[in-house]
Amino acid sequence: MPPRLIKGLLASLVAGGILLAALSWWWAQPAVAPPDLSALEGSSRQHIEEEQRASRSITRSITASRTEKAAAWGRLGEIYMVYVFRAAAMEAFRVASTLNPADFRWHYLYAEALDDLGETARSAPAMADALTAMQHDERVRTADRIAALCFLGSVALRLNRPADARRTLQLALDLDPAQPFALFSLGQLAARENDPKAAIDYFRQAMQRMPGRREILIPLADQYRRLGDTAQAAQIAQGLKAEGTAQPLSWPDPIRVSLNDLNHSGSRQARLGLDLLSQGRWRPAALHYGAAVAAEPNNALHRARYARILIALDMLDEARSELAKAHQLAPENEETRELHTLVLAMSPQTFDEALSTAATWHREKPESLEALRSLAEVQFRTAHFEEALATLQQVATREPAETDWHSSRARVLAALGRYREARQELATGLRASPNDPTLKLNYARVLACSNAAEGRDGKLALQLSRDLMALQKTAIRMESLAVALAETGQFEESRRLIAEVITIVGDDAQTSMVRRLNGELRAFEAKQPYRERWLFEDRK
Amino acid sequence: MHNSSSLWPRCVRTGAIVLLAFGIISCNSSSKAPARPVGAFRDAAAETGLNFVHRDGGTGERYMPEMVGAGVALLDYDNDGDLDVFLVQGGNFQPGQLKDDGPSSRPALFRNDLKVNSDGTRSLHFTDVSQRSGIGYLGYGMGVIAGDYDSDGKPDLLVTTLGGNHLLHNQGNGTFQDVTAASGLAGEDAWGTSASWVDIDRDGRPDLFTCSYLVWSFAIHKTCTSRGGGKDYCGPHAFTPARSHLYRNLGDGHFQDISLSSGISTKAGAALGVVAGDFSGDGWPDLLVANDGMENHLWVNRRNRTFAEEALERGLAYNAEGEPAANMGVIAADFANRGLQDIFITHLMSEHATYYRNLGNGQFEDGTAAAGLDAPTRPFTGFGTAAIDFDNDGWLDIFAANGEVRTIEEQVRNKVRVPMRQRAFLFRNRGPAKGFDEVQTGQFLKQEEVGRGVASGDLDNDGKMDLVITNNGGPVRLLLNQTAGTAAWLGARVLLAKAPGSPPLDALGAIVRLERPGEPPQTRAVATDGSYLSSGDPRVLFGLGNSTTAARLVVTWPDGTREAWDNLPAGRYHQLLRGTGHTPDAAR
Repeated sequence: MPPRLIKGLLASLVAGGILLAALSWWWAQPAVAPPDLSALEGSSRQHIEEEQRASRSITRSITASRTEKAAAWGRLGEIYMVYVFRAAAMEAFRVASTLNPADFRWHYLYAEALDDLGETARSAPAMADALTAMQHDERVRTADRIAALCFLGSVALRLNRPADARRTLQLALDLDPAQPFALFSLGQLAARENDPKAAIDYFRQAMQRMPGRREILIPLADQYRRLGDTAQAAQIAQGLKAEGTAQPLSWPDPIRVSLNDLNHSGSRQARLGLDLLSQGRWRPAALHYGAAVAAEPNNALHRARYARILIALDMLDEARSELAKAHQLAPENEETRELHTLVLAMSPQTFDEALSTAATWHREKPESLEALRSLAEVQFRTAHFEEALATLQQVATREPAETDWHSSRARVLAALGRYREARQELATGLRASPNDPTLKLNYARVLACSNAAEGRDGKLALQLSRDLMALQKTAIRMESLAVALAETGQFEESRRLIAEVITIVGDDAQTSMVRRLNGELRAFEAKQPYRERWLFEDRK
Repeated sequence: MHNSSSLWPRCVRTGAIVLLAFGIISCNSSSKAPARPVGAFRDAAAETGLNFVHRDGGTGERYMPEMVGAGVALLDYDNDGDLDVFLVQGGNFQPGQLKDDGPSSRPALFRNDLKVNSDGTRSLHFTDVSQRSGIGYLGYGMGVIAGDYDSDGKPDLLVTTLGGNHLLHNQGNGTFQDVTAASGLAGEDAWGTSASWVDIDRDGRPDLFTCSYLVWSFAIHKTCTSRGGGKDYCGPHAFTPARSHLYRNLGDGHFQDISLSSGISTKAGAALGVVAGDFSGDGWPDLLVANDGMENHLWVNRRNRTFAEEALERGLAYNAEGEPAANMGVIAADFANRGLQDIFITHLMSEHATYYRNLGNGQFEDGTAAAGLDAPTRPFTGFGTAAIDFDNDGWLDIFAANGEVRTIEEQVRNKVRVPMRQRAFLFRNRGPAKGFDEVQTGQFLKQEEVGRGVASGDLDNDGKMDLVITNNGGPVRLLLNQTAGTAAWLGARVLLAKAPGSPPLDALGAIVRLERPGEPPQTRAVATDGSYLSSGDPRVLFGLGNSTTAARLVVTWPDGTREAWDNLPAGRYHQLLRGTGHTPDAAR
């Protein structure tokens, strides 16, 4: 055999071997089953697919280092995590933490992903690995360490490992002596071990950082009962029954929070918008809903809610345009129909159209309470007050247990100048539902701001407003207290309070609210109580 | 459950936070004891003829009642000594369409034709007797509770629906008559859920408590949005909570609505579950109501047909985290063999189920974590639940059927039909010192469904507790207890007669205490209530472990008097008729 041929053969063998080795190596790469994206909205799917491609280009590269591959898997895990593909996220983080055990972030997120999946016991060693890696990493912030320790404390509590929980939580307190979750959890441990005095001490310390949190007040009251101090327990528990949705006490998790922006979905934008709305921040909420509509243009719900915000911001033309599109997408959607009639009822030029649209809806859907309510609203806004009262009576007959119609009737009565009846209406409603905060707020408003003396009772308004503030301090409740204070002649206090509300809500509130707040401020500065014909449509 | 404190010192590494934390975990992970192999439950619904599929009527609109599910009752309607099965049905669910559209919209009654063969083996078979029972369309059904309201010796049925109650009188000839209007129970147009027969005034007649959930109608239906942006079911906070009802049994077939005068309807609550028991420790029956998304209500009996709500004061309103959790199914049972009824309540996913420990002075504390039930119950949204000693070791275990209330995005993406599925769980009680361990053997405990109602009872009379589970929009399951082993047992049907010679009825509210030399006593309540929308076996069953010695049973009757029966042999059910025992103080 000619030497050249032998050489060629050898070279081919070597090249083939290298190719074979490369192929085996390529196939031996860790695999994470990609989740099914078919049910996702288009923009989200596109985003994830782009990330998958980018990740693949690194994880399958022969030249990329283990650290780079770990980062690629980690990034993909983050994307899966924020889009709630929990199993895929967990797998991606597992691979990332295996490829680069020195990076605390992959262990940390692997632990959280496991916990998200209910794999609590498995999550703890992963978080312990994260703490190990944190020791040698300059990027680590104290808040990250505290979060990791609180996570481990929480896991140990849930797994009933009290000694471990205590040690870990104490370590968190070494880093932040007032860390409320750690203090609260140590209180729980003390309560579990029948040491009410120690539990009370921890709970009280936690309350210093988080005053008024019912999640702390309730177990605190329990511990006083254990000590036989029922009076103290009752005092603490007072007011707890009235209202308020509890959120589990947790700890700041900066690493997890930093991932949120990776989620580009319309539903996340809508959730963010909703959160802002609950804080009375309408303008930034509009931006998020606008983004939700852009990400998911065929979602009628997003469009309808966007339109609702635009209405509140007096952007009626834009609202009409959104509602027209929403109506096209979901012609039977009641929210869209309600908003459509509302927007018509907001301009005198379209009053007649508003009335006929609302009447048609009610005729088409006589069983729909929304149609009936909408008709009443349009009748009110177009000054057909007696008709509005009659329509609201139908609402009351059909749903006596609901409370909204009391407020709506009272509003119409006030508009008619029948303030005494408006008061009675709200008082009746409040007797039936003594803990309804909206009724209480509206009642306080009538009592403080009615045009006629027969509608007013400053002392009662003050009492109702203070009750509401004791339960939860919000801008609207502060405003209620301010007008009640002014009605009882305490102008300086009311001026100070309303100025604070204006600062809190800034320019983000509903346009009508901003207008009203400024009117109230002017009145209080002139040492006069605030008077209005009482339209509390923005108070629902 | 393992107490790690003794393990800790081995793991401590000096100084560093990291190693401390690492030690916690690695030591504990490795210290897990191997699970003792135990038997399992086997779904025998199809093979025994228990063929029933719940219709939730879902159209995609996500009307809230569609996902609440429906209950099941185990009752011996024909008094032949074995438990028959009554299943509540949903049906069509669209505006104007809530009506009878054939057998698939009506409840079903299955007669148990159990045969005990000469070799002791059992053949279990059910016959569908729905049509001949005379029970027709009842509306969109929710819950059921069995009890002999007219003391004629035959168990009757109270069915709750989206629009009111139905009282079905057992006529003793295999048929039931709807006597709702005549009984005075027709006025309630509420969304009824669970119910309880409870003799609140100790007059020997079971009174009726019915839970009401929310103020809901098609007119006020709301749709919420899933994480994925699609339509989804709302939570209870989207609607107004309703007021529950209490009816006094007047003894002549009529009931008087005393909801207002008793105080019960003075507080609204999104009530899903109820269990009666003496929780205040004064010998009178109280009512614990599990409210969805808000604090529970404990109605303490003031002995004059009025009640005071004292859940907060007695530690039963909120869990240890101070959260008003989504309370669904509720059971009361003596889990620690201390003669006290502890409470177990199922909850929403990410909350833990709550185990309230009875402190014995009318006070309770959340003992979930200490019992080992915190982390393992968090991944589940639990509904029906049962306290059963599945392995007859003398300690009551906990079973719950699970299924989400909102769509699970991953299941939507995987195109799972009814994407709210979760598996059930079973926790074995290893005694107060060791707590509960999850048992995961058996195919059923791996199967994901949308579980709702659970009723426990010994359907084949073999001394092992079986379970019937309803699934929302799915088939019923009959879990026959196949636990291997030779643990002994002793059962009893506890009966009292209204008057000498009159037919006896189950003594709902009685407490039965089992006493054996050298063994801790056990107590069981005679009850059909508890769980979720469902009604269980009124008999009591005690696991005796390895001991087969005869035992003594002491019954505390609902009026507080006590009576004992001695030397009762194991391995069978005994009838304890009031007046046939002796006073407990007499010599054995």
